[in-house]
This record gives sequence, structure tokens and C-alpha cells, in this order.
Amino acid sequence: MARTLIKIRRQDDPMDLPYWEIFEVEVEPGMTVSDALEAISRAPVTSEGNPTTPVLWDCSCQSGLCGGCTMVINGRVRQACQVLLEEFDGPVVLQPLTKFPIVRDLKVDRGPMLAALERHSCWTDGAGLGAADGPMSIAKEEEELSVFLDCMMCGACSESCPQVNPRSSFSGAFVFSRVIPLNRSRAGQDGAGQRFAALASKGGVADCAGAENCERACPRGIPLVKAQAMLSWDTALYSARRFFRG
Amino acid sequence: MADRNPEIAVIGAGVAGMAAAYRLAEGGAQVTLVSKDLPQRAGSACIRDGIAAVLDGSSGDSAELHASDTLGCGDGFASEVAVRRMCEAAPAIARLMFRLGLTYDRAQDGSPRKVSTPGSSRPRVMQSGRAMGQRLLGVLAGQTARAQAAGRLNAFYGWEFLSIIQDDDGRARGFVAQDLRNMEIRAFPADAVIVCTGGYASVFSPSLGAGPADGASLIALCEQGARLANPEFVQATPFSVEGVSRAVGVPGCALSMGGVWAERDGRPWRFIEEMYPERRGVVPTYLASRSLVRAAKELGAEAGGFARIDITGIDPDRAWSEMLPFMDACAQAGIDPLSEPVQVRPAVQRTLGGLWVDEGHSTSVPGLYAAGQAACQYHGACALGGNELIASLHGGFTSAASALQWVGATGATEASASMRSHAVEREEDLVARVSAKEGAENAYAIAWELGREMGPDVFLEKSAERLARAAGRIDELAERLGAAALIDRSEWANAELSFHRRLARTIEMARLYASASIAREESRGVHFRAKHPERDDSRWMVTTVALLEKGSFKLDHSERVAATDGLARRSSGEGGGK
Repeated sequence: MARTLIKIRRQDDPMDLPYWEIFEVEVEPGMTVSDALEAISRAPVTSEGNPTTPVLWDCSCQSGLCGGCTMVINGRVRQACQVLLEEFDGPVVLQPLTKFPIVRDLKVDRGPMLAALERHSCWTDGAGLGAADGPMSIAKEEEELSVFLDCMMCGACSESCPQVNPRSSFSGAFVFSRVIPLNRSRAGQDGAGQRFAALASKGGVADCAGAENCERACPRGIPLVKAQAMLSWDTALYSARRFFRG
Repeated sequence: MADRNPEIAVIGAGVAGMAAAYRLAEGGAQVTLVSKDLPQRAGSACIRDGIAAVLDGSSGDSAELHASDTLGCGDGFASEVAVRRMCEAAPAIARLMFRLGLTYDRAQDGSPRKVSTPGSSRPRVMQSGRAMGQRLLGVLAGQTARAQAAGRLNAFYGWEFLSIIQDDDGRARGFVAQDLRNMEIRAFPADAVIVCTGGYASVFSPSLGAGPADGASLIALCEQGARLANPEFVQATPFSVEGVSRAVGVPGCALSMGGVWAERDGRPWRFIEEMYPERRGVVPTYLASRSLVRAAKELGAEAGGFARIDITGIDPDRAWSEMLPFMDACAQAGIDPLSEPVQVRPAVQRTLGGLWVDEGHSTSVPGLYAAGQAACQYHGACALGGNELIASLHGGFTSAASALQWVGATGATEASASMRSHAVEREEDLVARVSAKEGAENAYAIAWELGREMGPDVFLEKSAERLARAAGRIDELAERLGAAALIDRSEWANAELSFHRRLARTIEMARLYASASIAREESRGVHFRAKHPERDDSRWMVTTVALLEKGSFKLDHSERVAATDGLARRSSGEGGGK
């Protein structure tokens, strides 16, 4: 049976220094990176035979639907449960996302993504359960824009974006993905002004420099470049209207 | 009554939990929402199917028919009152989700497109793209953030729920949770608690459920006096496609459009159609499972891996538009179901048992409510396709309304300082006990072995002998867990500690499943006993109620399932109404 080396960048806590550990894993057909991490937990011993602690990483659905296990795998940001070990000839190198505060090992804190959505008021004010409304009808554009609802807050867009860095307050393209279906649908019109105001300010849509890495990195295939273009235009219109209205 | 708003806690930020939190915030409560992880990681993300709701009377559909299909698919085993309420509430809920920003797939005329699922007499399931569960989580997370911005909700993500705070009368007065980063254990007082921590699908293997659905929180609540209902009912789909890592379920519409066959004497054998000719191959999940077991016996094969789903004759445009979740899942796994039949195998889809709740979602503990897969309600002996998300939403709303009403009636009072410190000490003692364990066993390895034991021959077709063997093995694993010392001694983000604590209860859940399965000597819905293939309403129209007494579970079979009129007794398949 084939064996492969898995090299993992570990860190015991946010204040500590990182270190590397190498594990040897028996590769079974269909085995993913996340399966390999589980195998390591069952026998946490390095390839040199030193006992160590189980590796911490986020993992929930194991189906590529929750975004939890996003990490940097051989230099690329990917979902650990969707990457087969068979893909690699040599060692597999795992590192935590770098654009988020580290918790421990491969686990990071994606709380800042929630804070960004809050800054952009990413919700509708849709009246409560009992509110009266007419028959539901869905505009063709609304259905086309529904792909933006697929964002699972994995952070791949932020990780791959050069504009997301300690000197910038830009959070990443996931914000565009949440804002668009709200601002372009009837349901979200109430809060559109607030969202545009946030997008027009520091860390907003103008901070995107057009690297377009986000769209390539997005595991759900969300057209983030198109999202940025649409929002740039909409935000410019919004700002112009505000200017002329005084 | 104290001069303040009701303070109500919600445990779990999945679809049910966030629906409850939404309703509570709208109703003027101050909400504490706690979850191990961000909302997007909840088990609801795994539900790719849509939501069932009768929006209008087109094609002769009605809430009445929806209720009748639900009870029929559930093999007459759910509370008819609760099911009717859900089906009547479903359209308003579907509309609310639309107003909150969830877009449904569109029909030509701009109305939501409706699809059929096996067991539905009309097309009434609305879908949204590739995976509605994840979309719904995003939409509801927006509402959670909105309530938080308005100061009506406090979210604690990255905290693990441990237990409830109880007063001398046993009433829930809040909960205790642990910060999974700095490991602080803290008491959170509340006037009522709503539990939405999911089911126990990950006790089994293979499972389509998310990892966190390990049943540990349910057992923890039983230790505090809550009761579980129908733990033996675990819904497996006979048709899952083995993909990357986890299997994915084949949606009902794929079954109705294509067909399932197995190779017999070199030719395709459409065994479901042969066994249920009047249904033209479209049968509720549990009948499909039974036919798979029978076909396996006839072919001398194991239940996994011999059947194929064949949609090769279907127009690709139609397949991609009407079965997007399935097609997307296959694409993820590198499979093209349009070019060749796909091999399928059984996998656990969801669990049907859970905390015992009444129609208002009150558990047997005063002040404690439950919704979503954590509660046993609506689905009976088999969940109808499209009912999962609507049941979670409706259950969340209902539990919130009940909790608000109850706190209004009984008054809001603070948990005393001694109640709180006692509750925290109890959990600190447990941590000390887990940390003091000695021995060379590895908890992750034990969990892995438990999964291997709880395979298709334990959940698909049940025999007393096999279940007894599983019970013996479970005892052995529990003993070995006692000899598993913590490897990780860190006081920062020690996930192993949490894993040990949960696994002990997951093992208990597995044991309870086995004993409740052995006790129920009949076949009903997903519960299929080889030696008792008939549904037996004279003896078994009863809920299994499990309660902990002196450290071990007792099963009580005295509570009859309320069937108020002919709907619930509707014959739904073999064994039904005999």
C-alpha cells in the first residue's frame, strides 16, 4: 500500500511560534486530506516516531458544503474534505489560512467575516411571519443572482486576495456575494442605501485592485469578478445620486 | 414578574436554532445564541433538498394533502395535530424566507418551481440552487446579525453547550457552556432554553449527516431528566453515491425520472418496480430500503454496492435544471450520471428520534424546549422529502412562541448565584474526571471503530442477534474509552478534551439505539426487523420513551401515538393498516 508524507505547520496558541511536523499516512483509495488528518488523530506519532498531540482543524460536513476545512494545501487554498491524496506525487503540505487570526494548528478564527457582514448590513428587514404579501414571483434576474447565495463563508476569497492584508481594511469578495442579491432584489431594497454607504467607504468596493484571484479560489464557483464589477457601478451611481441631491 | 424582557437561550445556530432566535427577537425577548461553530458549519448545510409548502391550490394540492402525505410517509406514526399545524404554517414560512432573501428556483411564469418527491402526491417542493440548506443558513445568519446589531441578541460562536442550569424543581434556568479557545466554563442564566443541537446521524457509518450530529448533547440532557423519543428510528437512504469523503444522497426526483436496477443474469433487474408495481418505482425511502435488502438476499450480495441508479436516458438540460443538487454532488465526486449508471449504496440520511417534545415543542423538563433534528416530531417513522427544512423552521418558530408564552405566564426570575456556581462546578468536575483517565487507548480510534460497527447491517435491516452483538461491542468500546488518557494536556483550544467528553455520550446513544431497536418487534417505516416484517398497530402504535434512571436507560412503551382520525391510519405501504 502506498504511503505519503504529510507535513503540517502547527502552532500551539496564537502567542507561540509555529513549528512543522511530518506524518506518514497509508493512502487508501478515495482518501482525502481530511481523512488523512483523522487518521493522524487516531495515531498521533510523527514520521520519526515521536508521539505528539492530535492536529486541530475545522471540520463539519465532509461534503464540501460548509466551508469549515478550508486551508492552504500545497500552496493553494482548498477544502481539505474535497482534495484526494491520490492527486499528489510528493508530500502534502498543510498550512492554516494566513488572513485570519490563528486559533491553533490549522484552525483559524473566521469571526472577522461575520463582523464585515455586519458592517455592510447584510440582511433584509422583511416584515415578520404574519405580514401580508401577494403571490410570490421571482424575476429572472433574481434567479440568476441567486448563485451569490451559495457563499459558505469559507474565507478562500480573502485568503487569495492581495488586498486583504494588515495595512488594509478590505475584508474580501465574500461581502460582494452577500450584498448583491440583497441590493438587486425587491426584498433587500430597504437597506440598500446603508450597504452602498459601507461599500463606498474605506475598505469598500474601491479597495479591490482587480487581481481576480478570488473567483479562481472560490470552491462554490461564485462569479466574484462579475460581482465586483456590478457593485462598483451600482456604488458609483449611488454616490453620484447622493452628491447631486446634496 | 421581573420588570424586564424575557431572556431566552438558544443552543445551536443551525436552521432550527436561528429560526427560534429570529422569532424570539421579533417577540421582544433578549436572546443568547450559543454554537460550537459559525452558522455556516451547521448540519443543515448538508440538506440539499428544498422545502415543501403548498402555496396555492394549483394541481389540486392542499395543506390537507401535504399533511396526509407526511403522515402516510411516516407510516402513521406522527402526531397528527403537530403535522397539520406544520403543513398549514408552511406557506407563510416559505414566503417569509423569500422576503428574507432566499430565492427559489423559478418556473417559466416566474412562480417558484415545484418538484415531486417519493411519497408526495403532488409536486410541492421548492428548491434553491445546488444546496438549499447552506443558502438558508446564510439568510438566517443575516437575521441573527441584524438582531445582534439591534441589541436584541448576543451570539457566542466557538462555545460548546455542556448542560442546563436547573433549580430545585428541575426547571431550566439557563445553561453552561465552554469557550473552545480559552476553555473557560461559564454559566449563562436564562428564563427558558431552546435546544437545537441536531440529531445523531454521525453515530452511524456511512452517514450523510455532518460530524457534529453525534447525539452527545441529547444524552447530556437525558442525564438532567429529559426524555428521548423513538431513538430506534434512523432514516437511511438506500441510494447514496459514494463521492469525495462522504456519500451524497440521490434526490427523489432522480428516482422518479430514472430508475434503479441491479444486474441479474446479465440483465438489468428493476427490483423496486417489480416489488411495488402499482407505484411505478417511486416509493418512500423506507420501502426502497426494504426492496434493496430483499434484492440483495436474492442476489446473494451485500446490501451495499450492487444497485445502480440510471438516469442516462434523461435530457441533460432537464437533469441539470431539475436535479441540480444531485448533479452538482456527482460533479464534485467526478461522476457523470448522464453517461453511465451510477453505483449506489445505503447511508444514514438523518435521525428521526430525539428529545421527547409535545406539540408546542416543550420537552419533559420545564422551561426546556427542543426543535430541529434534536426533537422527535413531525416525521414519524420516515421523513417525507422536502419536509426536513420546513420542519426545522416551523419547529424553531413554534418552540420560540411556546417559550415566550411560558415565560410570560410563569414569570422571569434570575438563576441564583448558587445555582450557577453549582452548574459550573458540575462541569468542572467532569473535566477533572476526563483529565484524570489513564491508559494507552486513543479516543479517535475508538470513535472510528464505533462507526465501523454501526454499519448498514445495523441500520438498514435489523436482527436481534446482530444488534445484540453490536451492543456487546459498544460495551467494550465504552470500557476502552475509560482507559484512554488525554494525549493533549494543553489549556488552550483543547479539542481532544471536548472529543472525549462527547464520545462517552455518543457511545451511550449507540447503546440506546441498539436496545430500543431490539425492543420494537415490528417493522414500521425505516425501522425494519427481518423477523417481524409487519407493522403491528395493536402492540406498537406507541412511542418509545427512553429515560435515564440510576445511570442506565429505561424504555417505556406506554404512550400511544395520537391518531385522531382516518388520516394517520391511512395505509401507506406494506404492513400498513393490516
